[in-house]
Amino acid sequence: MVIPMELLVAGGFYTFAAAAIAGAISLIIARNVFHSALFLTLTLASAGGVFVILGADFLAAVQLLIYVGAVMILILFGLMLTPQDVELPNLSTPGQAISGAIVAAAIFVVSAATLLSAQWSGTAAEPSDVATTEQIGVSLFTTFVLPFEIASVLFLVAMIGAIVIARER
Amino acid sequence: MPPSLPPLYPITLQHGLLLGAALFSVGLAGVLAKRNAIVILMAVEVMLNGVNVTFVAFAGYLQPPVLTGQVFAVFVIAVAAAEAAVGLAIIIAIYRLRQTVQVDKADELRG
Repeated sequence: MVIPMELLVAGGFYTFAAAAIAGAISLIIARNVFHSALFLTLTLASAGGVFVILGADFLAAVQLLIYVGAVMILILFGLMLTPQDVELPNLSTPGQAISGAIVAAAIFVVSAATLLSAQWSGTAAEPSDVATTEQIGVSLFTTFVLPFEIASVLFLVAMIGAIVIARER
Repeated sequence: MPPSLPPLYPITLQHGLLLGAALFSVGLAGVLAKRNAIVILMAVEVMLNGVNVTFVAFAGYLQPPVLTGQVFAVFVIAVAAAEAAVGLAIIIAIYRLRQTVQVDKADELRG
């Protein structure tokens, strides 16, 4: 039995999207900071799966390598280096939590209404399925060579800054 | 049309944009509602990921295909990694000073 491609794509997208959103919501609700970090891993990896379905194979690999690999390790190191003696309630005061949720919900409703009502001219019915790595590499070194260089300077600054700020005095 | 795709692709541009908006909003709720600085940093990463999903969705569905959105997403990931490094360094410095990472405990600068 051959599963139709259509079903595979739809099922994959909805599964990854649901996992990403569920992970993000659980990240907020979780009381334990370490559980939040694990839910963040779920969200980031699921976003990588969504990238595959949207036709971004290179970015999916980068997402797994940089986010799930590097940034998560960094965050876990941060958790280990800042042990909490007293287990304070992780949420802010109820008033702040509720108003934060209201603001976020309002922003979601406005943006969802906008993007659903807008007419997107110049878009195709389906994502292009060509390999993107070569094209991204070429445009990084031609059209976007200046941002590329600025990003490398930013990395240098961030590296030195992180060492200087976190060092023992 | 490539033979691997059926004529009616079930996922449209709006699906990707909705997912991006949802991730951004949930991350924003986390930034506003949590008091642990590390969890706030994680929620910021979720927001940046929502923006990335939007970039990738636009890059995938643009006609004729242009990959500018994906290149932008690469830069967003790069800046997010740098931000995580500096942010965690700041959190560790605050922890050395105050033995806590609760953001409402670091309020010397209020007027």
